[in-house]
Amino acid sequence: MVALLVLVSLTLISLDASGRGRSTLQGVRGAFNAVLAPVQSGIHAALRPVGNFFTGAVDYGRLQAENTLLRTELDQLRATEASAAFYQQQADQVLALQHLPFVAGIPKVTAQIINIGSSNFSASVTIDRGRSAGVLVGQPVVAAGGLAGSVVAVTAHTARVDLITDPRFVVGVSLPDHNTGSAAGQGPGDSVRVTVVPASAPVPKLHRGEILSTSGLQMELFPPGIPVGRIATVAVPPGELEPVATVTPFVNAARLGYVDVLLWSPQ
Amino acid sequence: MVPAVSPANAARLRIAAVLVCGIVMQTTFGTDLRIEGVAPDFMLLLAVAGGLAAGPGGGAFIGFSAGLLADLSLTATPLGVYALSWCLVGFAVGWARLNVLPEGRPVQPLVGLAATAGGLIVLLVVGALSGQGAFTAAGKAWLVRVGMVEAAWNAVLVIPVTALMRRAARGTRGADRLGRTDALVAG
Repeated sequence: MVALLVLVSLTLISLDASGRGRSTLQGVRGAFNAVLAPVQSGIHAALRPVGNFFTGAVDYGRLQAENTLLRTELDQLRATEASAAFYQQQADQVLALQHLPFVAGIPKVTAQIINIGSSNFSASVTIDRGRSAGVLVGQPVVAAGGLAGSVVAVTAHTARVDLITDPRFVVGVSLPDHNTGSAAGQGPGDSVRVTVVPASAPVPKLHRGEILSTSGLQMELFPPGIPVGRIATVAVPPGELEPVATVTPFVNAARLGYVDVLLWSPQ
Repeated sequence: MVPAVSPANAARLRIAAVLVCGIVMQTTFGTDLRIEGVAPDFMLLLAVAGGLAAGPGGGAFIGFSAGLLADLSLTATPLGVYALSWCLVGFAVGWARLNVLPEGRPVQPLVGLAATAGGLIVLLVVGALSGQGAFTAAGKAWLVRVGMVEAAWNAVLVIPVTALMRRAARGTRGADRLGRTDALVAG
């Protein structure tokens, strides 16, 4: 029987990884999560106080809510600052200014996070809006601080969002001197790795504290100008010309309560 | 008239109920129990407890089912990665329980520690073979932290969860065989 179970597992892995049976398997996963979502929501709400107690403080829940509120306000201020910096950069690049779509003009759906993923090897959350609210796979998700992630799976009333720190998450970012970079999640934690996409432009000089925003190149999955994060470290790997930076995202997954799904698709 | 349910089928239903409770707890309460950012892995714990309560065959089946539920609740890895990993863990723990490990609770926390560490290694190997970089993307330090926290949780919870699984598995061939073996050793 063990051999049979191993065989079934290997068949499932190869079907999913090769993409041949992916749509069917994703449908099964979607149905499973659609059934689980209402139960998760209720049980999570009921057991939250026990979890809060576990973390060590009797009054932790109220303090956490207050703290979340204050941090959200701080994130909004940071987002304003980041947006201002981005607009300044855009003002310097006169050419594109007239044609860029901005987040402010994009319709969005506000959603509540109903489940923070419990996997130790991925960073994703479940939100309480799905296909019925117009949410589709691939749409960008933003929060008070900037880019939060993107939708990777949708059911009728819920959606799964891979956060910016998830190992599968990649987004193009604008770099100085007309360069473009690729920002990729590094798994649970709070940093994103940015590498320069080789181009004919001069190698960009990256500086600690610099703010990076989405590039929004043609067919890019994200609109331009969404603040991604602030550069924390910069290093040039031995034997290479282009620098590699670690970026601290503006959005902290641990503090997320609500997010906005941008009803946007690449033109 | 309601048809009578055989003891083995009743046990299967009880095990299924325990596994469903496990995945619901994992995907809801599990995230609130993070220590140093690491959540416990209740499904791995159920695979270990399955091996201890139902022997190699039962452990493999319980581990496979627990892993499949974990796979279904995730989207980052191909379906079957956790099912295969936890199936092997359940089988290995069950085999060790049948052939090497003595009956009794004192040894269970050690089994929980060792099986969790072994289970993570199996998961990394299966993940690497299926081309998944997600397990190693966060670096070695994170993996060590995950191993330590999950092992600590499983060492603490393995005694009550094994007791629960033993009650649920009563009536299956594997659990009965373990019971007979223990009686022979004791007698």
